[in-house]
Amino acid sequence: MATMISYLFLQHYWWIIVSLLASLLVFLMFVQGGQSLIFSLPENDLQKSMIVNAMGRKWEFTFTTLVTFGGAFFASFPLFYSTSFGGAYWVWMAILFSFIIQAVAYEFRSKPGNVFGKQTFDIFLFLNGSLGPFLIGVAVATFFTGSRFSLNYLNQVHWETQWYGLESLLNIRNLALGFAVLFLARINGLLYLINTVDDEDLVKNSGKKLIINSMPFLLCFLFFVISLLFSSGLTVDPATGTVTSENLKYLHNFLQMPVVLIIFLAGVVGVLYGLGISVIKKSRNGIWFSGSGTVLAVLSLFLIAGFNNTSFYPSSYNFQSSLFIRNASSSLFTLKTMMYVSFMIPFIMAYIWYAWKAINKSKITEEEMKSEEHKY
Amino acid sequence: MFFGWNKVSKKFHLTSTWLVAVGANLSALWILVANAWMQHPVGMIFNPETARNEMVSFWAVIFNQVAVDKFLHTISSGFLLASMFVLSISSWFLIRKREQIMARRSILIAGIFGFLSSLLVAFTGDSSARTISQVQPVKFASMEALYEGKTNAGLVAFGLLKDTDKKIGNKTVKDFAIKIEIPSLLSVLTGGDRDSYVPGLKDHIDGNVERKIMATPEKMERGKYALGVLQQYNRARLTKDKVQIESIKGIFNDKDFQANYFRYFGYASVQKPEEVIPNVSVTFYSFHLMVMLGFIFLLIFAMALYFLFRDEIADKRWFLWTALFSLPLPYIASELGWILTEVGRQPWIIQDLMHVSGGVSQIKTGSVITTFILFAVLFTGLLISEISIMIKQIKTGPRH
Repeated sequence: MATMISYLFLQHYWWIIVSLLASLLVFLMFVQGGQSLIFSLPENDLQKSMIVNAMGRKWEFTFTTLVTFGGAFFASFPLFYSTSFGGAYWVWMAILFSFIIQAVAYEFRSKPGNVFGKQTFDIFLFLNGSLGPFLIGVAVATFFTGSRFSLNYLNQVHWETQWYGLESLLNIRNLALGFAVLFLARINGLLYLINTVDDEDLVKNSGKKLIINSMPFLLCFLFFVISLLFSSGLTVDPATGTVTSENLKYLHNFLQMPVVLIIFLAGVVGVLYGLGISVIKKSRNGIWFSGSGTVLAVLSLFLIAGFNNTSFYPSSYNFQSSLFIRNASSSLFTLKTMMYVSFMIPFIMAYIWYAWKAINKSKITEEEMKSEEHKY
Repeated sequence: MFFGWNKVSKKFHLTSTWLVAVGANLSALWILVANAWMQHPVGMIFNPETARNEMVSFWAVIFNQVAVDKFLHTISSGFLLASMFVLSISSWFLIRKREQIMARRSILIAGIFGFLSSLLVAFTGDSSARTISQVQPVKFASMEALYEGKTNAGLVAFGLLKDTDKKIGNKTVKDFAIKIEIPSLLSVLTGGDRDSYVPGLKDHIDGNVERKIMATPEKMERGKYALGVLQQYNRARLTKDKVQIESIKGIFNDKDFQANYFRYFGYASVQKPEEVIPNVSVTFYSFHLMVMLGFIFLLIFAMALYFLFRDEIADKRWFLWTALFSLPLPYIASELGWILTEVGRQPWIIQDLMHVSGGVSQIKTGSVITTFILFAVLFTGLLISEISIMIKQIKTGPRH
């Protein structure tokens, strides 16, 4: 029994870490949000350069978090990885391509002799900025809306549609979360620019764009959350392993785990407060409220997706094939070994914090754009 | 590291730079450990409930002999590649009679570092080959194109293959059209003395009782038996027969079953014995070309140092041009090494345990080809851009 408890504990421990990484990732996608604005926001080349450099100094944080999230998810819940990548192939491929073009775009765009010209790499940045958050949002939405697959006794996946992931783009709830994540990334991108760039015009224009981007965000987010609260979810009986559909499952999860509900509400309030003080009071610190809010809200969504015996990767084709924290995780030994490794996380966070603060000590100015040696 | 200059202290910046170097090597470690496990699975037990191999010893996985060899061989070849890059570009500066002091200093460092790396590459390569002869003997026989096992086996220094009329199953046997052989060296390198027997591909397919080598059909039988036990487990699980479930779990934990049946699990998916032979030409040529290049690199670095110390390097224009055009060779050698590793382990995705057919998803061939073309086009474009940027930077030279 002692082993059982600690196995369950570790499975939940790793779900929390994966969720935390996912929520940090969604916050850090302000980089993508900023990239998606490089054609519509700046009024001249200098402003564009400021946007690209503001985001460029942070793109590696987002990228590394994405990779760490993927890696931790793969290592702790490998059955999710094999099931989803073997089935929802095209969604993951599209995400992969949209991130391949990002890394090089920053490094190549301003270098002489880059063959394809600055414009091409700016289009790459725009594509990554728009498609990345949207597709990740759609993929995560399937954690709630489900996919049509089955697993055999060797845990090999059989995808029951011919679209291999593209079908997820036909579900309106998936699209709603995709667009919500995209517009949230754009909002956070704008708030970050307001915080970090020292250029009056650019800050003013960012403020205007903030209002325009808030509307579709609120609309899509509310639609997704309300539909989520009314939707059914799959639940497993821990004793028998039988999977059944439960009405209002996610509403029940919030009510049965009030802490998660509080985290969620705090998150939503944080995002709205960050938006509010930026629009009304012209504060330049909105990003910290909106950013923390984003982390809390996404964290709570991941927790209701997996905790309380909920299927975090439901199969609408065959309930019994659905993935849960307890049947999709790595072995006890692996999770334990990984736990020891995870004790290094605070040190890495401290290093990131220090480096971030050092780089952000001064705001990005016109002079810096003209003098800085390492410039994107 | 990039933006930190002027923003963090010099010490912090240096620490970050070192962390990047250490981190880069560490990330190579983990990915190579994973690859090594597929070549030589150790430190795990199969769990029939989850239908997967689960780690039971972290240290056995890390210190897998294949992992150790692979890590050292790969990173030292990376050091070699970097050294050759520096040597080539520096040679170009000398050819152009530009930046001569910088070029000479760079050649000194690249020469020493490259020479030492080349030695390390050679030693770890030798160790890798010996490990392969023990844990992947079929790959080993293929890379030596050794069909008949023998004692006093010679090491082929150079050889060209041709088809013969003979066949193993439906696979054509290759023979040497030309070969230059160092007598007995293969036996000495693998077994320690010239009398040691190096098994050939035929031994592995037909078996060799005298040398205690099991025939492939026997392995296929044992693999099928192990698969049968797993299927029994699955039936017991469906009928919720708890007694049977526990008893079969016991079988999977039994050392004798693991060592004599489960270790051939993947052979259950083998249709014909000769399938377990990888493409002999590809493995043979990739291996031998890689080794040849390795010795050429050693020679180039040694010559660079020799000419530099005699202060003749600027006059040896033939050498400078050779060094310049050697730039792509370490990349080619690295790729050849990976071709050998991956083609040589066919048909296994996990050596002896999982056939490639078991790891294939149901994604349509067309989708995979489409993805491949997308990758090829995108990466070729980016490569062109990258090379063009580098050439531009090199032509511009350092800032004074």
